[in-house]
Amino acid sequence: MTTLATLLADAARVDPDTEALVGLSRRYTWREYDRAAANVAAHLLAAGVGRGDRVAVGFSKDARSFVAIHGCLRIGAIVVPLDPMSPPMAARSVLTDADVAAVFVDARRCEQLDPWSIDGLALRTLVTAQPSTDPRTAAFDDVADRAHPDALAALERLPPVAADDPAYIIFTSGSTGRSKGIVHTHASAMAYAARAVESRRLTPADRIAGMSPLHFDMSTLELYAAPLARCAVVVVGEAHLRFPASFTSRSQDERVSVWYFVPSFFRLVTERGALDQRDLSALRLVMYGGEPYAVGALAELAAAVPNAVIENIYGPAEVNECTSHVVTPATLQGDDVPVGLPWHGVDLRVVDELDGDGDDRFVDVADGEPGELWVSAPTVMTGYWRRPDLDARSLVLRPGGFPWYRTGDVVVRDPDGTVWFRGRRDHQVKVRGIRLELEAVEAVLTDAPDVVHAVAVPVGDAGEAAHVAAVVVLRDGAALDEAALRAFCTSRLPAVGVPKEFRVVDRLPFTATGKLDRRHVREHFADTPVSTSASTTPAAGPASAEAMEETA
Amino acid sequence: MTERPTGFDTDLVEMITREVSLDPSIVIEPDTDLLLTGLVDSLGVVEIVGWIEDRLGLSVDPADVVLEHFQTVRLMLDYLDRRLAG
Repeated sequence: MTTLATLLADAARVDPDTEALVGLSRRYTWREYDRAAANVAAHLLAAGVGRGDRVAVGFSKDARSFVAIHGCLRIGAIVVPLDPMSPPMAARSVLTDADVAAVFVDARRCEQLDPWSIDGLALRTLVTAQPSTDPRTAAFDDVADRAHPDALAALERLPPVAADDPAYIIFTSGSTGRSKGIVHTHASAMAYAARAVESRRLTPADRIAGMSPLHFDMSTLELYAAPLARCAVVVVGEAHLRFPASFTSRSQDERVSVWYFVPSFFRLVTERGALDQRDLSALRLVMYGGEPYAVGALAELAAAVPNAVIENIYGPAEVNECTSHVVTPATLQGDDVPVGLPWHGVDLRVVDELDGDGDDRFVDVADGEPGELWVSAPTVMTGYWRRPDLDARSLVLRPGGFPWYRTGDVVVRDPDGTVWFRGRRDHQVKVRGIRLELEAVEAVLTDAPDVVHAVAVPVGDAGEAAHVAAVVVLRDGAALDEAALRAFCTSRLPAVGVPKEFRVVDRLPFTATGKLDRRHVREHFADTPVSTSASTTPAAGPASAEAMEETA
Repeated sequence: MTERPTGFDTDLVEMITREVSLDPSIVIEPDTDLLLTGLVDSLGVVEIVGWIEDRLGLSVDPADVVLEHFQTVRLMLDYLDRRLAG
C-alpha cells in the first residue's frame, strides 16, 4: 500500500518537470520537491532521527514547511506541525509533550523558544529557516539543497514505512490548558487524500491555494491530496491572510483553481478582496469548513465567485473530512447550510445518551431528532497522543470496523441522510429551562444587516442561564440599531434565544487557525454585565419592547 | 499636490502601538515588519486603514490594501505620499 512516504517520489516519476510547489520566493518541480525532501530525510537520518521519532515543523508558512514535512515522513518520523505564531509557552509545551527529536523553525522563533534548553528534550538536530551563528544549528537551505552521498545511500536502504505507522500529530490546546495530540497514521491520511482527490476530481491541471496553517487539519489537502493528484500548491503566506486583496491578487496571478479555508477569512475576501478588480476565471472550487457560514454571507461569496462550485466540508480533526454539501441556489434560499452527506466508506450514528454506565446507554435517535454525531471511517485517528483518558471518552470500539469517534457535535439527520449541524454538545445551554444552541443564535445574528461577527454569551449560571447576551462586530460605519436587531432575532429564534443585551465591539479575537474564538469571548464576558442598555431598564417606557418580546 | 500633516508619521506609529498592536511593548520602527512579527492581524489592518482615511480625508481602494503598501510604516507613508501627490 502507498504511504505518505512515497507520495513525492511517485509524483516525480510521472511528472518530473511539472510545477509542484510555488513558494513565496522559490518554485519547485516534482523532481525538485522530491529531491529536497530526500535531502532533509538524509539529514535527519544522519543526525540519528528515525522511524517513530517526533519532529516539530514550525516555520512561518512557505514552501520549506512542505519540504520538511515530506522529509520527515520519508523516514517514518512523526510530523508535529507547530503553530509559528503561538505563544512561546504553548509552543514549548507542545515540544515537551510530543518529546520531539528534531525541530524546524524560523531563526527568530528559535531564539524565542531556545529548544536546546528545554529540560528533558533529547534534541538531535535543529534546523532554522535562516542561517544561524549557533554551530549546533543547521540552515534549512544547506539541509535541503544537498546531502552527503552516504546519507542518501542510507536512506535508500531503509525498510518501507508501514501503513499503520503514525504519520502526524495535530496538537490542539485543550480547554484545561493541557494539550491534546490527535494521532493520524499513514493509512488514515492516505484514506483522506484518496477520497479528496476522487470526490473533488483533482487533476494535474488544478492549482490549490495552500491557505491553511499547517497545524490545522485542513492542510492535509495541500500536503497530501495535492501530490496524490499531482496538482500544484500555491503557497499563501500568513501575511496574505491578513490582506485579502493580496491573497486574491496571488490567486489571479498564479491561476489558482481551488480554495479551501474558513468562512471568517472568506468573509474578509468578499468584503475587502477587491474581487471586482480580479480575474479569477481559473477558480473552479471553493471549499470551506471549520465553522458555519451564515447563509447571507455565503450568498455574497457565491455572487463574487460565480464560476466556482462552493462546498461545505465537515469533519473534526480526529476524523478529518466525513461529510460535505455542494452549495446550490436552493441552499442559499434556506436558513442554514447542511453539512451534507457522508463520504463513501463513512458510517454515521446519531446518538442519545441515557443514564447508566453500560454500552446500552447509547441509543440511536429517530431521523429529525437531535443527537450526538458518531463517525466510523478509515480516516479516523488512532487516538490521542499519550492520553488514554481521552481515548476512553472519545473512541468506542466497533468489532470488525473502524472505531466510532464521538464528535461532541449535535446534529439532526434527515430521512435522505443529509446531516445538519446544530452546535457543540458543550455549547448547549439551558436558558430558563429551555435547551438552546448558542450557535443557532450566532447564525441568526450574523445574518442580520450590518453584523459581521457575533458571539452569543449565556448570562448567569452556565448550567441554567437567565438570558443570552450578544457581542457583535458591525460593518464599517454602521451603528447599532438595537430594536431592529432584536426584532430580526425575534422573528427567527425562540424567545429564550433572543439576546437581551447587545454589546458592540470593534474586533473579536480569532484562534490561531483563523476561527472566531468564541470560547474566549464567552469566558471574557461570563462574569461581567455585557451592557446595561436593556437589562436594567424598567418595564415601563421605552423598554416596553422588551416586555412584548417576552410574550412573543 | 497635498502633503501629509506634520506629525502624521509619529501619530500613525503611536496609534498602531496603542490601538492595534498585539504586543504594545514592542517598539515599532519605520521598517518593522508588522506582519512577520505577528503584531497586526487582519482586523488591525482594517483599523489602520480606517484611521488613515479619517486623518487624511481620503479613501483607500480595497485593491490598494495589499502587502506592498502596508507591511511596514515606511511602506504606508510612501504609498500615502504617492496618493497625496497624485
